[in-house]
Amino acid sequence: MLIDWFTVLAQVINFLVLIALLKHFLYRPVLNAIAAREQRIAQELLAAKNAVITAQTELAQLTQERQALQRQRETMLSTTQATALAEQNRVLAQAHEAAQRIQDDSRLAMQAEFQQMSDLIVQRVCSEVLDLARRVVSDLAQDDLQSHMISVFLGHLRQMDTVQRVPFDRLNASTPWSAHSALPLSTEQQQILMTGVKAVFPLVTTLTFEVVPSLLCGMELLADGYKLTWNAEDYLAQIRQNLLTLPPWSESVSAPVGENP
Amino acid sequence: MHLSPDQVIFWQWGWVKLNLTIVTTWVLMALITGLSCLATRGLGRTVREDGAVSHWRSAVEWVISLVLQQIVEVGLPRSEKYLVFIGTLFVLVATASLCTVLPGYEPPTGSLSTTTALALCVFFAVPYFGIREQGMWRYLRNYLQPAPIMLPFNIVSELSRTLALAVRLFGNMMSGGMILGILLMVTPLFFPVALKLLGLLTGMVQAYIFSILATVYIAAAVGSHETEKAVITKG
Repeated sequence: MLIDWFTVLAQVINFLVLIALLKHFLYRPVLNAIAAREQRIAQELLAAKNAVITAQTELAQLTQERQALQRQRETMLSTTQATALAEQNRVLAQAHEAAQRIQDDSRLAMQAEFQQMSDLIVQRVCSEVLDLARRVVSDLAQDDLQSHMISVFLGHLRQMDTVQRVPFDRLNASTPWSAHSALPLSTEQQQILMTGVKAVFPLVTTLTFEVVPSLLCGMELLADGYKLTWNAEDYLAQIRQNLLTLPPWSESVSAPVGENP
Repeated sequence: MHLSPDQVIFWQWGWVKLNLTIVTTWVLMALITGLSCLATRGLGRTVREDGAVSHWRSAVEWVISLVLQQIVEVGLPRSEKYLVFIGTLFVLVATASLCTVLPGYEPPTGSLSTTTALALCVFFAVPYFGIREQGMWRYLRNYLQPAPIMLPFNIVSELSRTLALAVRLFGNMMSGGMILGILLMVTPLFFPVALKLLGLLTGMVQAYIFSILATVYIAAAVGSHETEKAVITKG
């Protein structure tokens, strides 16, 4: 018989024993190891998943922060641009104001300088003309010229208006009179002058004659601080006055400078 | 020449006897247990500091995972509960077949007593797992499906498939040994080697078939007869 039932029973027992042995020595350790490894892998996957979630959260947060920074940057940029524009306008206004002030100051300084120059030129011209006239008169000074000047002076005395006469008419006879001339007068000329003066002012009793070189070409009659004079210097003074009051000097020069861009 | 290693008796006292089948089985048990101890010894230390797994541990886990995957594919999702029984079946039959390369070795599965013992284990394991999963009445009710008249047929089916399990494995293992012995007498060199290699393949296939059929029977008892039919049709 091929089947030995004792062997069958023994093999069943052997198989059951082998099951117990393998369960203890093989399956349980391996299954535990597999379970532990799977648990570790699951934990690592969970950790990785959490890390991914954390990374995504941080990424979203960083994105929001970056957007906020971008907005802040744009705001700051626009504010800075507005501030810079305002500062630019303010500085430009200040520069324009300063330039205008400097321009005005320059124009005023130039006008003053031109005025000074014109005054100087006028003074120089008058002085030169006066010296020239003085030299001419000195060169031409002769008795005829003195006589002619006396004649002219007496003519002016006679044509003197009432207003000019008033201070002299109030003088008394004791008031000393003096006549100034640029060149010494001859006796005849003195007599003529004395006669002419007494004709106009009868109260004149004494008349002294003095030579004043600065008179250039003319004569003066003085009494008690009042003076009647005819002198070529009066003409020169009139010329000088006319020159000094010429407006075109200053305006014609300063007008182009005053043009603003 | 003997047909079964049961006939080689080392010691006997009454009906108690110590034959080659039992001794070889003990040796195989010792070998399998020793290799298991070696495989799982220091299993906790096989994980390196960097978290990687050693090759030896990976190989052991791969084999176990393969068995688990096969059990799941047959139709037992909670495969860990059946791994001990089915895995031990596979390991014992496969080891018994692999050891045929050793000279003078006679596999215990070449004994009808051994294959009958294994088939009986499967025969009793099927209702054990079925009753544990479904309960006594629900499991027994399966024998009345699809109609109560099918009860004797289902009982005959249970007995016949147990018998088929035992005879199939015995036949294949015994025939391999017999053919090898005959060929050794006729052509002592080339054909025995080729047939030895073929015997190894046949042995592994038989181990797989025996285990997978046991799994199918258990799955059918645990689940429904539809699973059994589907797997058998597929096979």
